[in-house]
Amino acid sequence: MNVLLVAGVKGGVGTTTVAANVATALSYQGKPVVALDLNHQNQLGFHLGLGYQECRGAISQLALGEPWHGACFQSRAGVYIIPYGKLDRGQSKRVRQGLDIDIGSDIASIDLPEDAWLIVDCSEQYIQSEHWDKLLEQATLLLMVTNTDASSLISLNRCMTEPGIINNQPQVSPQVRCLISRYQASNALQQDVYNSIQYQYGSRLFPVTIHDDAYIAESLASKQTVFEYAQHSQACRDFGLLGTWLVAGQCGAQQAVLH
Amino acid sequence: MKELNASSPIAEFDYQVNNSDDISELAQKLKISDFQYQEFQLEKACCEAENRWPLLKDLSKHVVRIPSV
Repeated sequence: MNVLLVAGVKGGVGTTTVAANVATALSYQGKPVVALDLNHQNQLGFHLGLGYQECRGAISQLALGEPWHGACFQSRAGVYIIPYGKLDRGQSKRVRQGLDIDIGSDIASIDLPEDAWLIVDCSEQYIQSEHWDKLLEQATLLLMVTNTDASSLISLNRCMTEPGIINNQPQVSPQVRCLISRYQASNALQQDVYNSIQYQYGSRLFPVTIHDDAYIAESLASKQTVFEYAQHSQACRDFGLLGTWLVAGQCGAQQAVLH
Repeated sequence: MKELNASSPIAEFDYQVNNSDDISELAQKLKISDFQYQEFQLEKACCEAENRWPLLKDLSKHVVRIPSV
């Protein structure tokens, strides 16, 4: 099983969008995919077509004393979704008191085929939680999603260089890659920040860029994935390419190019 | 100049280099990657960016560069 962690350098950079669409892209490539939401915003399910009224998810299962992977749904593209879930006020207090998802310890016991992908949408809170290091140890790849603006660049530098944020090692772990999302190639500042990231992080920059595309927002509003809503869009091409790279990495081709 | 021997890839390469006006198009056609030149171009673009945006200059001082290859 491959474990892909998707995390943002800060909030609002498009982490959940990337997680949902890469899950769909891999599913269209014929891979078994499970998408797990570890973000309290609980939006991954909506990106994959779940109804707003659905309250069940990993955290609500834990609050009931049930296994976190008990609340599992399937998207139209065949992705198995485990939402974060919704909690009432009493349950939220218990979560703050330490009831949290220790997925890193449980991953080894999940019985998925060798070519399956577990895509985890990680929140900033989860990265700072006590469970993060264990989850990172299990990861095949961590994608740090960033935008090409000055604020994201500050956060990216902090994440990639300061110890204790990505891991407890002073150097960046080898399975970490930055992924540029919402890139507007016509914007002069974004071009400059893009060049700066490419120059500074070199081989740590994932070789696929997700461009800014209005179809992404429109597909969410229409309760479809971008693959269903606009199959000839730039976004569809970008996420399809991202999926291809990840599958190529399974065969060792990605390592040959990236290292 | 020697006559082009169509059966030899080296002769074909030499012929195209000597007769092409657009080196970048030729490089693309022949699938040549000049990493040193690409690195130079990237470094130049970054220097220009840092001159335009002081924050980028500040940030670059605090990052240990990871090379592309």
